[in-house]
Amino acid sequence: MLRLIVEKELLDNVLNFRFLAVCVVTLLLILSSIIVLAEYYRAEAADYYSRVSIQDEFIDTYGHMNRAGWMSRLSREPSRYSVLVTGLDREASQENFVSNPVPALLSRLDLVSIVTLVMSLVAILFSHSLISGEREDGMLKLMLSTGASRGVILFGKYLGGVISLLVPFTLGMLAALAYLSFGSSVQLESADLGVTALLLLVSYAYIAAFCALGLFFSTRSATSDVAVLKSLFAWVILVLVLPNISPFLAAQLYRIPSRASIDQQTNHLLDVERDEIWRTRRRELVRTKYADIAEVFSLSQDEIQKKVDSDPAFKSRLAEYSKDAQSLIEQVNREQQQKADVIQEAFTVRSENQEALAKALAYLSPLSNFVFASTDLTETGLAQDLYWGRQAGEYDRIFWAHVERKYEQEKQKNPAYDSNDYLNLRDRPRFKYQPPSVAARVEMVLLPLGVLALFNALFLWGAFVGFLKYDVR
Amino acid sequence: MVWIIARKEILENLNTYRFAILSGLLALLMGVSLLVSYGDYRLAQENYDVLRPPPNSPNLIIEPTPNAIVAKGLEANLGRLYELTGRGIEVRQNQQSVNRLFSLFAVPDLLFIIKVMLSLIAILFAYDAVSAEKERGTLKLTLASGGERASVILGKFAGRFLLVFVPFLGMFLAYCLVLSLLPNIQLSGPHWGRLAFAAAAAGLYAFIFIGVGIAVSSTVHRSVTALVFSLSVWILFVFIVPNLGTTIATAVSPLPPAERVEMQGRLASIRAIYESIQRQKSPQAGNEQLRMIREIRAANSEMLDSYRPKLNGLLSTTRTLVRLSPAGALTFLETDIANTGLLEEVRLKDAVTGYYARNFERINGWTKEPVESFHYDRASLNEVLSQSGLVDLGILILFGGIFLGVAFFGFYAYDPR
Repeated sequence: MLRLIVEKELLDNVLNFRFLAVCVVTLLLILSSIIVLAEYYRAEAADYYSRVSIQDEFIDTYGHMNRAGWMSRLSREPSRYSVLVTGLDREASQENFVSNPVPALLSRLDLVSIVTLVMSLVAILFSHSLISGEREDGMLKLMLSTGASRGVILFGKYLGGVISLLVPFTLGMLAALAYLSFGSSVQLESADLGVTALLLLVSYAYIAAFCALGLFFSTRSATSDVAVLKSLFAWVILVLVLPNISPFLAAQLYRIPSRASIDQQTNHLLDVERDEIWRTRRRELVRTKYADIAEVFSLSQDEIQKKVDSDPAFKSRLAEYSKDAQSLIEQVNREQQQKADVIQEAFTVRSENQEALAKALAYLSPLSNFVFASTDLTETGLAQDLYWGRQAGEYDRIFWAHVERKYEQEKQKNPAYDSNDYLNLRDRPRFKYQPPSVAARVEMVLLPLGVLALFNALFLWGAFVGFLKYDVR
Repeated sequence: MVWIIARKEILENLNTYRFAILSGLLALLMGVSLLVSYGDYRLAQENYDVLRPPPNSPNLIIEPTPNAIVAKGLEANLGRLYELTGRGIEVRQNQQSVNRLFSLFAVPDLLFIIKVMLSLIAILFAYDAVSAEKERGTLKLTLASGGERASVILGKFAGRFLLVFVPFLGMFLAYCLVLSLLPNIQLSGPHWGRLAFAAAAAGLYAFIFIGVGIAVSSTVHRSVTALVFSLSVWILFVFIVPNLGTTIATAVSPLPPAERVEMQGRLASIRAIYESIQRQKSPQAGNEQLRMIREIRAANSEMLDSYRPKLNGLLSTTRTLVRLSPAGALTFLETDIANTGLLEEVRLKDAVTGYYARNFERINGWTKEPVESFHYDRASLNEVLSQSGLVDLGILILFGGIFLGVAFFGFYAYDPR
């Protein structure tokens, strides 16, 4: 019986004009977005490799200790998956005076926007009338009079509706993959097929959730008109409101100081306050241990030099004082740095808490779960930021150790060698970003995928309960 | 006759479930938006107080505008601290939130609500204006009772538009009133002028989508078909054309990535410093410091000179493509009116670059005079309108005219049986 209902639903949909329209629209949208993004990726990747090569040549030619960190700034290789999912747009972060302002104002069309906005809306439009529409046509009582149980009818309609939506979407994705494999300069690897398959799975779960949502409201409304209104209301809340307000709401509920004020506090600790502490302790040091040479602070440099030249005892006391003063300032610096580190660490913890709260609020929407899963899968999301940051930090440490070793070697060969002299860094270690493995990425998407499955189950259960009490007349 | 039809349309819809649910949703969203956008503005204000440099400092920052509560646009960009040194202009981003989720999702400001929600509500109020009357059989009765087709369609336009716009206007006035009463918000005459203009643009935008719904309703025979087509047009205009336009613009008007421009400037500076130090070791060395800074400045100027026409080209292509949708034209218009759009971004960068050029010698300490104090006024409404606002407004009027025309002609040829 279930099969019969699924087949009927499929046939109803396939023979309908809207199925053809969805096929054409999905195919056009996915292909056009991927063709344009593939061209953009090609240019971006070519520019990245050219930048890396220019910077490498520069370090080979102008390498020196003093500006080694400044000249070897790392830049991130564009992900080839960005043709599917643009994710965190780095241009949008506006790090430079010359950053392109457009991505900060308008976003680009990628698979995520097609699935989250177009496919979810289409799912609502396909499913809102699954029960209420049948009731209006008088078909529902006929179906029930044939002996089919309400559960089977509901599940059959859900399956039929979902399959009729997934077919055009899958066709669009296959066409896009064919283009990427044969018509574009994007080099796909075998692991990419696994990632794309997972991306498809997450997309299916997302689209099915909105089918279930439409079905839920269909069983809670006497007419299709009301069902579509209720479904659209829920769509607006779940797709347009919840994800977008989650970071703002988290920022209001869990307030953290801005980075600017933290920088101001730490700069104060490491500059003004440090100098004050240093002056106080130095006075104390002089009062308790070096009262005999306290006059030195009222003398000019020339006068001090004269006294040093003429008085060996003074010279020796001054040397002792300089040593104690040096260790004192080092100690003050250490203490102030510790205080600054405590503030920075507390800020980091609070920032992470705020982001976790924003993420938790966002999990209430299927859209956010889809965005988290798709961006993490395709190395364009929040997780990759952390991976990249960690590896870049580790590389920095290795690079500096290499620079310092080379510098020491040169210094041993030539004591007059200084940090502005040419330093041969041709044998330096090179940075190669290692993205998280496919297994690690699968692990990352388990939670959002699970939440999407939960949304499906929840809406279906609600639809089932609603349908049990539904008046079919 | 037009008013009779309009009145009938209003009275018919006023007590419906649809009116209650959509108006309630709009009110809820506007309230939430005001709450979160005001919170965001307060944070920007606090950051500004922390970052504000002393007078005559070569660090520049402009004060956040309360207009950003209505349309945030590029306000996060505009509120960055610019540090001017001998090496060029650098930006500090420590006024921006460290929460990376902001980068993944859209800003729920009033512009977002107008662009997405008001248009959706307009569509949902208009899609059945003609087709539902035909389904119920009342359309032929209306026409048989002497109603002219022009009057009927104009009446439907007027009625449905008022049904959407009047509640919105009421909520908008309440929004502005609450906004003006909030602590730290001082709305002056020009602010109210901008708000009035923003409301007028929203009205025009709602009219366009009423037009879309009625035009589709006047060309199909079933309400459900009208709904599907209208929502397709809505999603095309609101999401697909602006996003695809941006994607295509970046492909057809390529702009060197900011990272490349930054790298070129950085490497040119390092080379100039390094070579200057090496030359200083020679007995024939002259004023190497001066020469070095001039070399860095020349490299930066050359880089900016080649970058600027490309950026202008990209902005122009983006504007052209995105304006193919009313949502795109509205985004440009509302953000420019709020002084948070592309126009303001380019204007501020020009002001910073000009200031840098005028004060270059003072910043480098070559003269003892202090640097000028930086004074920047955001664009006036007249300037916005003359630069780009009137074009966007014209585009919105054109879209409204087109859909009104389509609805008119569609209804003339419509079979009411």
